[in-house]
Amino acid sequence: MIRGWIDVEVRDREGRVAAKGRHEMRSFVNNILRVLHGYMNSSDGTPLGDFSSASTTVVGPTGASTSIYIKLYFDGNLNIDRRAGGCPICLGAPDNDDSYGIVVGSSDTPLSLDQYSLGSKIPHGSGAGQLDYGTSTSTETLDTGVTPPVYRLRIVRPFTNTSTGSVTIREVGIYARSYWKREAGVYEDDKYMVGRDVLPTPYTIPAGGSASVSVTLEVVLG
Amino acid sequence: MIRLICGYQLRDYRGRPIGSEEWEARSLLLNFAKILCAGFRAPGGESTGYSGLVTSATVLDWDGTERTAPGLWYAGDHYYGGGVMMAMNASSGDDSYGILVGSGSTPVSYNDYRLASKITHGTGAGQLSYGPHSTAISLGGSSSFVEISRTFVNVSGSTVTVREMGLVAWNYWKDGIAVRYNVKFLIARDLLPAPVTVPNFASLVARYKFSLTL
Repeated sequence: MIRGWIDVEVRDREGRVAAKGRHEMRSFVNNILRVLHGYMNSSDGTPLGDFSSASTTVVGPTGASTSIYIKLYFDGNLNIDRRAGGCPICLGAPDNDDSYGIVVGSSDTPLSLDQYSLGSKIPHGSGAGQLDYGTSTSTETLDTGVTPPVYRLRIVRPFTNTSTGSVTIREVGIYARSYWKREAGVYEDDKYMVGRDVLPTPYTIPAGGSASVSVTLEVVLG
Repeated sequence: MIRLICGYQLRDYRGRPIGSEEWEARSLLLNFAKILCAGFRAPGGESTGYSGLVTSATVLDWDGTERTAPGLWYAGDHYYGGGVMMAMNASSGDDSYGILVGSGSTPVSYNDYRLASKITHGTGAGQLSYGPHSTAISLGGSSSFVEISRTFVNVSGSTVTVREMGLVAWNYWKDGIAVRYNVKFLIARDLLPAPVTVPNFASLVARYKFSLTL
């Protein structure tokens, strides 16, 4: 079983905690299964001998189907540099990037597994209705003090309201990035949503305030 | 929440179902959690010219040896490069990864790295013929699943008893002409609710299913 928790902590402009809550993450969406299906099918049964690839089709944030690589390998038949590599499930978004990692929104549209985007993403910025997206950080821990043991990946992202009005968060999304390089260039770069939750309680971040949103994924072990 | 469901179907020599079972697995192993998180932790978007290991997991291979399995890695300036984080669909006859079955009954532990007693591929006594894998995917608005299954045929001449099953992933990356990372590691292991005796010429289809429900 893989489950998750969402923690939200809001602070006012003086840094005092104004609201705090923990909510069970209810919904990964179908894209996560599409990726697992890709891994299940990613072997051609032999070591990588020539150009070989495996891909799966996910639904991107615009609703368009997109093929992403699960495996990518270039051979040496061409006498040029073919360095390559990558990962289809990156969540570690950098500062100011609202296209993947933990993303927040203002919509409370009910959940459905076939959703591919937040109902209404709050974009990065300092204007009205925007939030300044910080850098994602993550930690991993094995907890054998519970039965059954769990392995946790906690991803934390800060959001700062530098606009002049308050901003309300009602939904939290997890967007992955599939990023593969070849030679000196980017061979594939796509983003897609793998999880979305509507918070049972909206969180309003006052002007000058901030919020820390964390997603803790727990793999319940045997 | 993503649930993992295990199951099997037993078929006689004519292909007719003669037994089946499905149960909720509580068997994801530490190896699985680590490699999944190695992928999730990856930042993506590394600068042009970057090469090397970005994220990885330390997993235990079939022998219990700690091995590095990349989540995100780029080849350097060589003619070859690339790979895959966790391939599962081994070909017919390959009992080194994918779904494997065994005859052991040792209780599952989260840090298991091998089946207690793997039933090897073959036609001799106590062996099963490992077939290819199949996958299925069904996506809906309130319920979805993805499944991998494998057929095992008993042509040994006598019965073979299966008590455990597992799923082994293959992490494989090449750099230049060299294999840079190559590790197969157990990511799930389950005991069957009761031992299953596979008659001669009968087949067993074992499956793992990841399920999402709202």
